[in-house]
Amino acid sequence: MEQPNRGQIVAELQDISKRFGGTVALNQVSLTLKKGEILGLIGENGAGKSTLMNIMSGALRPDTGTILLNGKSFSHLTPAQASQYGVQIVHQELSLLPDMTVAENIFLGKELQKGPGFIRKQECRDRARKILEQFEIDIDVDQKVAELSSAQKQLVEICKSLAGTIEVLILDEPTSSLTEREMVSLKRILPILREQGAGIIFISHKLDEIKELCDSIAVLRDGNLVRREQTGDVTIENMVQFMVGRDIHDEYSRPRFQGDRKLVLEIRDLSSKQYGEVELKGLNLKVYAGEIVGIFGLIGSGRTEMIKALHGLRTIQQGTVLVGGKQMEKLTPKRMISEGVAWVTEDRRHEGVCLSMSVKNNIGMPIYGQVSKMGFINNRRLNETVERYMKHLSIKTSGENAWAETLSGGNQQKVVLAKWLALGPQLLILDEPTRGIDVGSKSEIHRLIRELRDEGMAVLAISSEMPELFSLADRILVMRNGSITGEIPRQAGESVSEEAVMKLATLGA
Amino acid sequence: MKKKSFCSVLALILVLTLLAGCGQEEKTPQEEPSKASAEPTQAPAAPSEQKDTPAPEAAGDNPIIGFANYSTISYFMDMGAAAHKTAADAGCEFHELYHGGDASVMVDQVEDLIAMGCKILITEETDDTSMVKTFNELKEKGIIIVSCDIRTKEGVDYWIASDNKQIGRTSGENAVAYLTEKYGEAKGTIAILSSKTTTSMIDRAEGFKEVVAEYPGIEIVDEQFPTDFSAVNMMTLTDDILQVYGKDSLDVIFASNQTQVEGANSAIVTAKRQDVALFGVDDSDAIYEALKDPNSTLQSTVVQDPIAMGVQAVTAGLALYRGETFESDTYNPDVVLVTRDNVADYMSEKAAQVEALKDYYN
Amino acid sequence: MRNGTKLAKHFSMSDHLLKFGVLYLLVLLIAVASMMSRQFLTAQNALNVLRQVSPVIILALGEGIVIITAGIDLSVGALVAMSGMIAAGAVSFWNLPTFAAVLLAVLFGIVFGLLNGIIIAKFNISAMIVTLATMNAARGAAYLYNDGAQIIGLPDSFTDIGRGYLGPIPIPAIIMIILVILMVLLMNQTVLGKYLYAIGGNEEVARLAGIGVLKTKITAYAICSMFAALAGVIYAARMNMGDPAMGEGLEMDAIASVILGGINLYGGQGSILGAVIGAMFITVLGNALNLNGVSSFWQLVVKAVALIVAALIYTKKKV
Repeated sequence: MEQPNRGQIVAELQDISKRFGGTVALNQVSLTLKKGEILGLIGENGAGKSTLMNIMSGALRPDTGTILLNGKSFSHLTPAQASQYGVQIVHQELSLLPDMTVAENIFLGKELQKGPGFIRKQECRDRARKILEQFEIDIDVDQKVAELSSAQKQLVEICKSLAGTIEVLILDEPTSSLTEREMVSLKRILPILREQGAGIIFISHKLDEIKELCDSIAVLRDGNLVRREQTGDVTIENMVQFMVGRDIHDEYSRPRFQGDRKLVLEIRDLSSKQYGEVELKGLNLKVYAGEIVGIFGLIGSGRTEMIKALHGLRTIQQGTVLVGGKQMEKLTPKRMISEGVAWVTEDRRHEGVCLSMSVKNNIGMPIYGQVSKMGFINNRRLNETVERYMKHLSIKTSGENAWAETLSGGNQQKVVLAKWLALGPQLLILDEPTRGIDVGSKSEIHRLIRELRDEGMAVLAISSEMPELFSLADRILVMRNGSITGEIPRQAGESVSEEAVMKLATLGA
Repeated sequence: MKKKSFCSVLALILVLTLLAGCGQEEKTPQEEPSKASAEPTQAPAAPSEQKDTPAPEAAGDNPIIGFANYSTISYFMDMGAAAHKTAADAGCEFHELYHGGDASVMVDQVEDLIAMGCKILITEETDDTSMVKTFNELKEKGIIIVSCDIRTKEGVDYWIASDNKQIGRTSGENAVAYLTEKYGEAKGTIAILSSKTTTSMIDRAEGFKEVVAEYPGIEIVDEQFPTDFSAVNMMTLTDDILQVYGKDSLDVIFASNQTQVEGANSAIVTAKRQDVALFGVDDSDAIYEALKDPNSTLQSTVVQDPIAMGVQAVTAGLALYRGETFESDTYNPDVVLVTRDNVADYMSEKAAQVEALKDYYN
Repeated sequence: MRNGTKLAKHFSMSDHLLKFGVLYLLVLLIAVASMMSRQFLTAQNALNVLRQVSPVIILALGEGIVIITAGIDLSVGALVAMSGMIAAGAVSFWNLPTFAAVLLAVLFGIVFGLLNGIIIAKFNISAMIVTLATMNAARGAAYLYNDGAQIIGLPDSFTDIGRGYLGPIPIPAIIMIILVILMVLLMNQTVLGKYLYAIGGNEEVARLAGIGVLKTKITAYAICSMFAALAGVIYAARMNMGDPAMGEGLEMDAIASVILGGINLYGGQGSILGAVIGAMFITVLGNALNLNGVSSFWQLVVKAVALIVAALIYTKKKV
């Protein structure tokens, strides 16, 4: 491949260090990025990847060290400066304004102006449209961001970074909200940018993507840069080893539950709609105790909508739902919880964890009733229960009173799990259980889920990561257009075919 | 991080409150020297510690006098200054607080004044019913209570009030005279601005209506009881009244307190409705200016004599404290009708009085 | 195959009402009011209302900007009094020409607003607490300025600002219209306007996008206080005096106008014209009730109910 300008350095970080209170986040990290290079930045959660990129993009100031952009050197940057010098970042947590349109968001802070501060609105819209078209993204520039789906928002977020001059593009977990469809658009963007001579830094936990897309990798562990390699020279196992410093195997294991495999959840012929649009069409589903049912589907297939409908958050047109053999007359979240259905949602930051509450209170929240007598909370029992779960799930924190906000993504997810497990549910619904979580924590959570299954829990797991489904699920159901198009059971000894799944997801039965 | 800023805000509030508290106490630094001479045997104890003897103690010829005043509007300030001077001339310590019409604030302030050792309590414009209980308790402890400008006399030893009805009547008579001159006979239409909650205003309107009722040719076509009688609001209300009553369909508007007069006057001048005459009560710089303003239709205002009231309050209070008695437990100072003709003279007279009191203003 | 979810721009009743609700209410109010009182729909009453509503709209414009940034300013009522005193003092005590007095008052407003903005934005103290404190400070200063007395003896050139006409239109209305046009342009067409919305929507997102959050917030409070100062000049001119007691409670009218106008109290949303219409609604409501001789007790109740209903309608709903 002809790479123009290859070899020239576009950005460099020298001896960057950063502390947060007593914790060292980065320790003398130095990194060089060349024009046209796609660098994969990998490491476990808490290794310092986001911190490093935040420093590069001006969101944070380093304690020591220098940032060099196209030869010019800085001790620190402001977001405006970084953008001015061509550093664009797509953050892990979406930073869009829901009440503004797509065009307005794309040009936020980079508005095209005329006269004393007036915005050239029409031009902004036209340019925004061009950017979307260039990467064949089908979104209306005048639509309010609040109305977009998560995946669409992610794409807009990426386009936001394309609105200014790009010398360095930083992508922080860009694909965690995307399904295969949107991935295609992203894969179009990268080579075009590389052609233009931009350097790209790609942070991701999806090592297969890193292997596929990146020219080189940089591995951070505990705030130190431990490896800097060409992608061609390493395997995925190598990458995992560099990141973790130990061997990880995440393989499927057969269910071991010996007890009564009763039917915990049955959905018959469920149809639902929302805002006048039909979402589910005659859905049928069964989940038994002691098994993990995996659900795969592309955007628009109705996976999360099914769970929302189960909890009464959608308009049900027809169909029946039975939990533990009991027909549910009215579907509300409260009823589902009292029937022992736990729902770990997609969006843990907003719907799973109370970030400003302590770990103890997060886990304890649903069980205050159990640990209290006549309205007074028995603190000893609460603490015992919480500690038990923290140990069982290996939740790493500075203490049970630490604010949930301070935990890494993986540990936050464990807190959410602990909270639900404390209720002793019979059915555990997981929607993207390990999204945005590092390999080490991912593996632990998978282990936990399998343990729960083997103790008799019924588990319904939705995931867009096929490797995750393959390692967890005893049966894989594929959804398309609001109903189940097919089921792929696990045959002894055979591995599941990715193509078979994809076929069911895109073309139907 | 959030805890840090919250703590600093708390600290800031604490400091500000302390400073405000210090500010209050600095109000009476000039009283300090006389404190030594007053009450040689009595410590400023809390009221509950005193014995329940109704008769004033022999010790302490110069009792401390407390004044729970209303606000810093000139009327109340004049009264306070006059009371202050009279007290000072008698060699008595004087404390003044402002309750702004809030009954709960007033109760606190009265307690504070008693705690400061006041033996004579003067109150101004209180909510008469809610204070009765407090007054009775204080009387049992031998505190002399002189109250000004409230409706009923229950619970107090001495009562000073401009007769608000008399004020209303005086204005009414002036209005009738105006109408008679305008039409050659006593006829015309009148709109009244009053209140349903402030007793002084209620009484003034009653007095006005009493006089006007004797003339069948004069009709009261409208009466408004605004709850918010700030000047701006009264201006808006009068604007709207002038809309309802077009040119030459309304002769007189009567406004029953200072801000009502000011607001109504502005509305009439802006709308250039020279056909509507304004009669009012109370005085202020703006009202005097209106009386001299050719564009204004304010004909007269009835003014109380807060200086006389302040003087009498302290005089009567001291007298009662020393065991004297009065023929009547009421005092109604004369009211003055200030018209466009005599406003200049009245103002220079008043200015002279205020000048004499100038050292005693807070 | 299209990547289509939720691309359908369906007509949402609730969205439509959110944007135009108060306008419908206003039209309804005008219709009902004209039926109930002959004088309501006359040219004269219209001018009357126009004059009354002008300073309220000016206050609401300023307050609206601040609320859009997810802040609040409780000091505007007190500032009305203080700026009125300053302007009146300037013409009456120092014999400055009218335009200089107005300029002085406006300048004071800007400085006051800068102070508010700096304390709120730089030291990160709640806007409610800071403006509550500055409100008391301004009110106290207004009383201290002339020992609690009013300032009278203002020249006609000053009083004309509040009482005069330019042709058939009251002068306050002309000032108001100019400011409304400027504000609509500012909020909809300029970078500053967009940044104000952005900060209200999500301050961190705005910061990361390179927006100068500190600078923009301070500007918002400066504009708000500047407008309050202008309104204070208009009130002083109408009343022909500087009055330290003026404007008590006006901050509530300003905030109520903003809420009624559909601007979200949590910031980031709402059209600045909504504040204008909200102010009109409150004033027209008062006018209609007065013309029909409705007792002021009922007026309080009606206004309170209107506010509660507006708050219910405009609460952000999450699915």
